Amino acid sequence: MNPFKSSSNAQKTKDRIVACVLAALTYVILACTLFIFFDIAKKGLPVLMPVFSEKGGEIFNSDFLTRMPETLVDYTDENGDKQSMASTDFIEFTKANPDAVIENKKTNAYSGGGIAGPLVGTALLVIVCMVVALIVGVAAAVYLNEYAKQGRFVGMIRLAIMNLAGVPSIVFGLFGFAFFCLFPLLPVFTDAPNIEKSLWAIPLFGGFLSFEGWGNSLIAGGLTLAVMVLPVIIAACEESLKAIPKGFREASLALGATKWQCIRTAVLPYATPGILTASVLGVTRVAGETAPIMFTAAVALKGKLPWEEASGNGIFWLSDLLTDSVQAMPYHIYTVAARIPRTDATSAMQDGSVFVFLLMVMSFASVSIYLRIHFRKKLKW
Amino acid sequence: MATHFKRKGKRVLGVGRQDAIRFFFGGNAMISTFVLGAICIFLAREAAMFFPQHQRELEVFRLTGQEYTNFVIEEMDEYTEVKSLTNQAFYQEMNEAYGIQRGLVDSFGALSGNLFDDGEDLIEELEDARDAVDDADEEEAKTLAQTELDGIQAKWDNFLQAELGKADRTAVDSFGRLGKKEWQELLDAMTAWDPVEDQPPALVEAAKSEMNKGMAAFDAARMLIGSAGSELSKLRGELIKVTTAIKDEAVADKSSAARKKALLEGSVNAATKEDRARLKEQAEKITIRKNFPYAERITALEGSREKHKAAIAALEADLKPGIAALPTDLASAQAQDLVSRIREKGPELIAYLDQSLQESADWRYDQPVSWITSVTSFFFGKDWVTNSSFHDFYGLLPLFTGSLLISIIALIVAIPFSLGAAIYVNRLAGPKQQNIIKPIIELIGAIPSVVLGFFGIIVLGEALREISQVPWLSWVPGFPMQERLNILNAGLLLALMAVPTIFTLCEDAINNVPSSFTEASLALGGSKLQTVMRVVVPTAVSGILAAILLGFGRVIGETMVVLLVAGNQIAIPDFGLGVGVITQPAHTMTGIIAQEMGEVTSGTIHYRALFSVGLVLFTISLLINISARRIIKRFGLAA
Repeated sequence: MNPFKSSSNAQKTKDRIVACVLAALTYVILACTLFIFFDIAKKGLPVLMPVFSEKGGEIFNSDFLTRMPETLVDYTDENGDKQSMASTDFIEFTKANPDAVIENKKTNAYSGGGIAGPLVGTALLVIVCMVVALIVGVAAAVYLNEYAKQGRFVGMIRLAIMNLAGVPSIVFGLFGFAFFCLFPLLPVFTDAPNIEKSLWAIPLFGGFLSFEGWGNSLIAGGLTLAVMVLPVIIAACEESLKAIPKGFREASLALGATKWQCIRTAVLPYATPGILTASVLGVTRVAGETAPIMFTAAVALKGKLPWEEASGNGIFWLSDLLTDSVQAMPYHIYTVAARIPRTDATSAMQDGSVFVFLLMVMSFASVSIYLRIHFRKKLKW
Repeated sequence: MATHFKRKGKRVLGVGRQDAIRFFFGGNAMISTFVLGAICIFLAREAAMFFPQHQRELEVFRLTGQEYTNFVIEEMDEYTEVKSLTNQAFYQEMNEAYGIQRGLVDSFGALSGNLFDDGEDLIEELEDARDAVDDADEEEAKTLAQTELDGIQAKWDNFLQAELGKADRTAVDSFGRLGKKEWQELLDAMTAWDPVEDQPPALVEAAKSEMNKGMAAFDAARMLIGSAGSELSKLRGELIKVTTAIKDEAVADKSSAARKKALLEGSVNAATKEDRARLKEQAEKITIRKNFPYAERITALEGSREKHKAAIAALEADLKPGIAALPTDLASAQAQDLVSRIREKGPELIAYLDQSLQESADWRYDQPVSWITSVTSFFFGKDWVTNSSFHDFYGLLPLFTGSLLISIIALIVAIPFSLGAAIYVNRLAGPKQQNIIKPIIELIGAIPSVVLGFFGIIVLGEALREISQVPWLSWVPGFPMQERLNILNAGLLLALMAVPTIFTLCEDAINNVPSSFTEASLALGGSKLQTVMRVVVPTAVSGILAAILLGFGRVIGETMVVLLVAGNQIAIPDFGLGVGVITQPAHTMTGIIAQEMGEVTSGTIHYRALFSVGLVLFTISLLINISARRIIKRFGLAA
């Protein structure tokens, strides 16, 4: 028998069929994903850019991005047309036109105005989270990769990091609530300590340093998110540290550098692209999370932007900003999607918020994927 | 030249600068260990406080006789299920076998209702005119009244004609039961309809009597089943009232010392003399008892056991012949299914009732509650009821079942797709395809879960319901769906969320198979596919298994999608439907925490119950992680 005879025809057809099935499975996943993106864009784009809606309109609806969420009023006017506007606009409108015909007036909470508050809140949460997570994460990665010798201690740390990565986000939320919000060893600067909660208040700079826990606040939410994203940051940083050739370190040490000088001059500069990738990846992860901030940081409605609302000066202002609750995009979407019935009037807020949020997170995700592929290709020693 | 290698810098407490830097990095690395430990401690602390508190609650539940009441409530629930199944079957059958007749009767009702509404004034005039004709004594007056009546009658006839001409079949007969021919017949019959006498046309009468005659046997059986539980229902109401009163009194009694203290303090500090006197008087009225006299109060339940026994006997006496009398040859297949389910359930119900009666007869209010009961009633309790006026139940089972069912569906859908994609991308696709497919699948992992949940509510839910209502798909179990938000919907969305996790890890595992294995297979004459299926995949199986486990961990811990899409109904899904169980709504462990955590006060039993659920989730995720690691370590080729 000829061992180099090509496979039988039957085998070839079978190969081809199975290959087609596998390809089909792959492309079904892609099709579903793209369908979701397109469906959300189709509904949400006209809210942000009314020129694409059926009715037409201005090119860009900047109000949607610059106004705070408020109650939406919808009614039928004298022509039987449906009208809807944010409650402040409605009050002005009724003042200007006292005899306008308003029938079937209905109010819908959270569905009017724009999404400035949630956007700013999410940005602040992400900043607080990333500042903490990057400092801790990079330091931990440097320790694990540069200092530590294989042993019990490092094994325990690695085990903890790996297990932490698998903990459900809602459990982080519970932990954040019990620890950051309620644990009475966490201090706040305040003019008036909460007597019921405060464990101990020290007079300081004309105010008090009160140990009463942080409550539902920006810093509690930010730290909860930081704890959650830590394993991701550590893993990504370690990967980039590992890619730096040993020779760099050896050369630096041979020239008489101390360990710290070596890390500072010969390791960290070459790890910056990796750290950048890690931080973008971290932002992607935390910006989209709802469960950890539901009861540690987020509220559904706020009248003002966080820095407008914070009072006091200097450290008291910062403390007030950090210990005040914020609005956040994912929580805002949860509120409007789950608690507000979907009607023609309320759907604009729902679709618009979801579209902007998805666009935001997806651009971060794309950047992180691009950076990773780019640096992997470029940095070869 | 040894000085060049001398250590530089000062040392404080034997710690130099380099050491301090080292400790700083080490300390940061320790943070993750610290956090994991803190999570354990905080969850375990609340859970440890939950069980004793739960035990005390259960003790009160027993001492107040509420536990006895609960026997009756549960019996009633079981019976009500059979009753509602019977009603469902009855109306299904009626619609199927007598659809046209029912359509005629209902359409007549709707049509005449419309006519009464629109022609209200005209009908009144007609009635008055007729009365006038009847009342008129003299010949002349009678003729006069008659002419007037004729005029109004003509007006009415015109009105009726016009209204019937306008009548919209789809609006009147909204279920579409009537064909074109029947509709026309009804309209023709209606032309002779008299609004004052309000007699249905003969056609409708005939339909009605035919329907009633045909359904008579079924209706009798239904009535028999429906009325069987009336005594038990009465007993249930009585017991709830009595035992809730005992409980309220006991709860008030517990806080009496604190209330008395507050009132006394108030009486000292009050502004006016009258207030002081009034508060003092109120405080003196409160007597502080060391122990609440449960033994005395429980006597209110005397005689309940006999009543209970009699009620169950009465129920069974009616239920058995009722179920036996259910007709067998039904026109509707769905009704037939339902009836056979009732027939199965009947004996089960009776056995359950007998057993429950026996258990309730052995029940004693002063039997101590052990801590084991506190633990088992949390892990295996079938109810999660909070903020109830009767009693709060903290049972994990419905939540756990919901979480598990949704995760299983997600995995069943996700595994073939992600594994297939991993094989395709790693072994069959060219580099160009790889560069497109891999980033897109990674992007799926970045879609925020709340966005997917939103998509599930407004798009997938609607789409699934529409598909389930397609007539030729009605053989699929569970179709047509009752609810838009259900286990299937949530499972499908979670499948998409699990794809990136499973895909990436599977792809890694397949990639790690040494090239010598594939080369050997190809050299032996294996085709590309044979190599992949018989060499590569079996070698990578440990990695694939670990990937599936981690995917499971990902979906069981997911919160927002299930909170938005699973339907949030706290009940164990009805497994009697077979595979159709997946079209029912459910609640989950993650969902309940997210939903209820915001509204509980810290330190209450409800708060601690939620932390206990969190501890269960945490334990599950740890177990999954550890076993995935073990699998890779033990069977993995190159980790």
